[in-house]
Amino acid sequence: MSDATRTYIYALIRPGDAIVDSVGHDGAPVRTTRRDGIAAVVSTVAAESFDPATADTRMHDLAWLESTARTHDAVVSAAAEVATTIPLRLGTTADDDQSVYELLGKLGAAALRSFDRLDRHVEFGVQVFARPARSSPAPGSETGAAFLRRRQAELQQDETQRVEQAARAQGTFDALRALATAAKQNPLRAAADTEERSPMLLNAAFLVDVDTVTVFRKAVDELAASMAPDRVVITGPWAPYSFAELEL
Amino acid sequence: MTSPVANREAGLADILERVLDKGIVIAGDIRINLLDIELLTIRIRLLVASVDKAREMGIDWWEHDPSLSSGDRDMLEENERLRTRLAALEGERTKTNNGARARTNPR
Repeated sequence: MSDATRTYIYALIRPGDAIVDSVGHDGAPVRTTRRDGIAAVVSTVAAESFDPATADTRMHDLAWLESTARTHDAVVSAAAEVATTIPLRLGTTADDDQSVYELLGKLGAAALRSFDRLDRHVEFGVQVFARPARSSPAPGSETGAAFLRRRQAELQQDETQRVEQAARAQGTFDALRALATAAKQNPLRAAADTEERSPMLLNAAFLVDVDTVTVFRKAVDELAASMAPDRVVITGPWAPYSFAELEL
Repeated sequence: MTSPVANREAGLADILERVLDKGIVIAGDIRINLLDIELLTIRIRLLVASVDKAREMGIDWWEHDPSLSSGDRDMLEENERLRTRLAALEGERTKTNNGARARTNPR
């Protein structure tokens, strides 16, 4: 690749009078390219930083990935605060601003349909973590038979607990889905969460009307109280990452 | 009243899950025609073509290491250094032993 710079695209927005005030990758100023009622939120980046040929190295550099992901999200969030926003996947670049302008011509109709769906909505993440596991080994002198009996009982208990937990997680999802415009369950993350250090039971995203946010938060509070000692964690408001779609 | 809900600041895993696995994908060569004449091809690139590709590359931290933070990163780097050092030491030992006995491969 001979071109030294490319135009990085963070998001598509329905701009109105919105001015996205944010700083992009490598400290570059964020600007918008507008066409026919939609706009791309962009900044200039070094071509080599986002060259797919070097992705393997880049993506394994956790310091770079963290900083890049946080910047991407910060710009997308800044856009979402002032305009209806369709977030793009991390690492999307075009040859130059002219290419972005042409791209907007191609995407226009689909983007406008998507904006209508996302208008005045935010995304919340809701995760449920299981109560801490029972501290198992009863110390002392146990006969082999007693050990086996206890172990079997424990395993049965664990199985019952898993079924109950799954039901509670599903119940949480259903209750909150009723208050949301759209809802999705994401794959459960395998490892324990930083603070919770216990298995994840639910990893959901909800698209919530801005007028319903207070009600939604209150519902999460009430569910959390009823589900203790399982822990309920809410993150957001996010830009609608999980609900952005573009059908060309 | 203290709420049992943690309204947590978004962790790195929450962000990675969204920016690497959600959000729309626009990528590839797009031909722009005007008056039936192809004028230009615009190239939209994506750093990692797909989440599946990322997983092939072993990048799925947002699924398996939600606890990643700067502290953990230091630990990962430390582990990496230790692994390298261990491999070097094992290599030296192998040379010293010069195949005197079978050696199990660490990891």
